[in-house]
Amino acid sequence: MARLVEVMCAPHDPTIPATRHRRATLPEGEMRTLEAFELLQARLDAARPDVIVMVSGDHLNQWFMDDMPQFLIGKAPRARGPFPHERHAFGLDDYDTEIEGALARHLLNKGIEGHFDLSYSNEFTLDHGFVVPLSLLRPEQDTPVVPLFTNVMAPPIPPGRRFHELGHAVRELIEGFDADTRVAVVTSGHMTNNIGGPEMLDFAEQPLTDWDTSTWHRLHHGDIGELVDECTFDHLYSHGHGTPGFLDYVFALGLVGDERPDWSELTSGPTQLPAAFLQWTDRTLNGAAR
Amino acid sequence: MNRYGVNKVMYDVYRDNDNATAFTSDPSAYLAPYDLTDEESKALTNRDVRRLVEGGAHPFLVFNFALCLAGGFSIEFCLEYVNNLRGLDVGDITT
Repeated sequence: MARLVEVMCAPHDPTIPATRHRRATLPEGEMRTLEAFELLQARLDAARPDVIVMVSGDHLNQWFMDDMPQFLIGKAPRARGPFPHERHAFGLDDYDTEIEGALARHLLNKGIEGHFDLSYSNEFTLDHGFVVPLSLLRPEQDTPVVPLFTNVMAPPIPPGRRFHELGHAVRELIEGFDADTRVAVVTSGHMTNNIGGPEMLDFAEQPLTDWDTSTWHRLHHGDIGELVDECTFDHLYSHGHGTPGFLDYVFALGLVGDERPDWSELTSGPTQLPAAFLQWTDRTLNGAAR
Repeated sequence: MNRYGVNKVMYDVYRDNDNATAFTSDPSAYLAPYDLTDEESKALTNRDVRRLVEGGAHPFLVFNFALCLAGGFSIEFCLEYVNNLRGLDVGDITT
């Protein structure tokens, strides 16, 4: 049966990839962000996944309010991105890799047999929510992926409890996949976020809000069930209209059960959004004996 | 404000370079097929990000719309954008 060999959470700020070209002059926080990506890239490589399940929100690029899926499995032959306007605005490189169709269909079919009304699509482009973490964590573009899109931007948005339940279910579905496959899951989201709102640049004065600091502490030492229950759209929205993007980290919490991360880093600074990195290893996910 | 209609215009403009060019060269003609009030058309034509966000347009769409028409990302663009929104509260964005 398939094995969950790695779970990672990483940010997807589209300005991050370009910082690789000005390493010599990067502020400390941005350098730590790059280094965190490099560390996770090496660890993902060492985990030797056969497939990466990539979970992120689309940013009203692929899906719009005319036809908005809450959770969607991409089952096209290939996963490609980003959108031309993202390439133009942020200098993002193209990403193009195979989709692991058998696992995509397994997650879809078995998910629907349970109580998750997953949508599916054969026609989509991955936006920066997928392309940024994939290009920094697996630049070789040689590992098949299964994209799982989540709605974290256009209300109504499912509460954290449902993201957590879906994460839990996806783990069971992965482990029930009848193939000798090593699966890594990468989820991408963020901490406080106000892109497009009046507080968009508040990080220049206050790199981390009280919510960022307390949530980070609770991720490591707090009651996870309480945190998950608290993560409704309205609550997260009250901390920034983009903060519901944290729900994709809540999905990861559903995957890993009660386990705390093996490694984590929260980078911040006056020139960047807070960037949260979390990693759970095979040993922690599966225990030493397995 | 007809949030859906205004959001749709911005989505169509920033995702498609031809639409962005058409909007830039003749905003009235471009907006004619959309179901918009005069005030909504005016806010879009004037790229009035404050009025758009105030009316409940999705801030991320407003940002992408303004970014696309500005021609690219820069700190200067972000500073001017935020300056235009100073003091606003982002309210309900449900469509």
